[in-house]
Amino acid sequence: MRFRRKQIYAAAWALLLSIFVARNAPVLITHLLHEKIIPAKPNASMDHFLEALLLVREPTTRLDEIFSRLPAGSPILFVSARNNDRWDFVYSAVCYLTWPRKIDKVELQPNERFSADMFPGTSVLFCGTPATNTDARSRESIGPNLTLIAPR
Amino acid sequence: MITAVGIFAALFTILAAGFGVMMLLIRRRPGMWEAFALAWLLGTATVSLALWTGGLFIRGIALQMMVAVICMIFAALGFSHWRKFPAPAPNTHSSKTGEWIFIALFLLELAAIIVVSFQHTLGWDGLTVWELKARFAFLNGGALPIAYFADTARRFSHPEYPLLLPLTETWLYLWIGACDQFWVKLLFPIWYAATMSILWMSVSLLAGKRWIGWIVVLIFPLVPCIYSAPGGITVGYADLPLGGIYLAAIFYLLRYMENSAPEDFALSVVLGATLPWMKREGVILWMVLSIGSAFWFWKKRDIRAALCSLLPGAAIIAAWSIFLRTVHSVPSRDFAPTSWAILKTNLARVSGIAREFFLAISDKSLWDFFWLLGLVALVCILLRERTARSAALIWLLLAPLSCYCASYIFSAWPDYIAHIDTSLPRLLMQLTPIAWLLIALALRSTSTLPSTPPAPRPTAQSAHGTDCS
Repeated sequence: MRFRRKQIYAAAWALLLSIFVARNAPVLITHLLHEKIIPAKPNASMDHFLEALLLVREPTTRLDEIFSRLPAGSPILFVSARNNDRWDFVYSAVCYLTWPRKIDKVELQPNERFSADMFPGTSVLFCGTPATNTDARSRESIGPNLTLIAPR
Repeated sequence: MITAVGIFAALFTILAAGFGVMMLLIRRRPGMWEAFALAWLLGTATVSLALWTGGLFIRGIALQMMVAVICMIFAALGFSHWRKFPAPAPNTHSSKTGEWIFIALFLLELAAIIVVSFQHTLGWDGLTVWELKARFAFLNGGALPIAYFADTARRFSHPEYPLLLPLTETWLYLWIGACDQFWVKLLFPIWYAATMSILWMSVSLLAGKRWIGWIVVLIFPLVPCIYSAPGGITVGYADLPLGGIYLAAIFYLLRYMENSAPEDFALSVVLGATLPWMKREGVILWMVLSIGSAFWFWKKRDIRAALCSLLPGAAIIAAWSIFLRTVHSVPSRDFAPTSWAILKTNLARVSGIAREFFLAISDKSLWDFFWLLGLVALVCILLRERTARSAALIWLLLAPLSCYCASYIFSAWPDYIAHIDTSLPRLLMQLTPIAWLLIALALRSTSTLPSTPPAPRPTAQSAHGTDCS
């Protein structure tokens, strides 16, 4: 009787684990067969996220190149709409790429405007919001969602 | 080619340091799987601690060479110890065809994990919390710049998080000479392999059958969360490596409960001490582990051992806290300071937390019915296996789980439910290996072994582990 109970117990566990394997092994195998290996590039992960958000190719190379042209020590001001999680990653990426530059963030309320003219020595990055400046500072677009107003 | 040589040098130095530390702690020649797992877990801790402490004084090539020399000194000391002990007795299990089939399947599983890891990019936190620190440290010659810790603009990257993972990534960068978000992913399958080696040894010990160990190791990656969710092995987070270290510390604690070998105690204490160095939640895991082992020693009336078990972990927690205060680190904004007033105010959250917890563990896309298996195992153990060991395992699973859930009472997020949704699945992942141990313990009742499986008592003369060589 005891031996039989043990057999039923073992069979129940074997059944449970078999069902678990049967349900999940095909998913993992499909995943393995259908997903592609990511490109073997130093910025592969950052580019993956930024490409989708900024709609430009190789965004980190582009951003690196643009930031390298900014005056040494020039701080960066990142301007985006409040409560828009989409741009949080872009802000993180800018913080990541611009180290050790000083960086700050301004979040705008709906219909609020921000003028880059108030910060003449600062590079202002407008993300997902229209860039506004009235003076002759150089303006550079990085895709449709990011605009840099460089300091004079 | 240069990248390959750099990767080899970084991994070799880590494993050499870990091997040395391991051999200084044990009195036998370990088997292959155990040696690999301990070399990796102890090696990453050694290298990251050496980089952190060394980086307080020197930087650049001098720091890299100093840490490399430390690794080689540990390796040399370890090797001289290793030579003193006889080779492990030939393992009769290894020659069985079944064992070799399992090993082949395990190697296939590792290959699949490497492929799946390179199919995914680093995740959001993998990049902006962990790899970001590695990059900043690399750009600063191997040491995180002090200014980073007080930089409020970059507080999203949690400067207060401990550095085991990011400094291990930095070590790789120092050797390949550049930051590389592709090759850094190679580190995570190694942590996975180390975790699986320990899981196999643990399950073999608990279930008393090596084949049950292999079955659990082969089923482990089928939990969807492991390969396709934030926190999984593919996205460069610290959660599964933390779970692996916790499992290893538990394994040696359980072995110590079986055979009272001082080396198992030492390994459990040292591995436990690295928990707070891996991630903030590691403090909770370390406390739970320490309370468990302190209770064991208190029952054996060995107060000195209980205190000794606390010292290394407490030293690491204290050192990191002092460092953060000294550099005026930006505090975390995720949790409010614990106080009775906040507890009373937020007590109503308990029902919400319980509901979210239930939703999290029953999320089929992340877990399928894994946690149901865990629950069934828990019931089976309570009905059939009321031993000190099973009580310890249940404590080591349920205590951190309760602490994790209770911590949301103090969540400082405006929407604490969003906080739970974002982080709880990752916290659960840290406990996945130990939940598999519970399942293994329940499976033990299906085997025909006597109630207490023979755990090896390692000695210099007859040294052998539960693993195969």
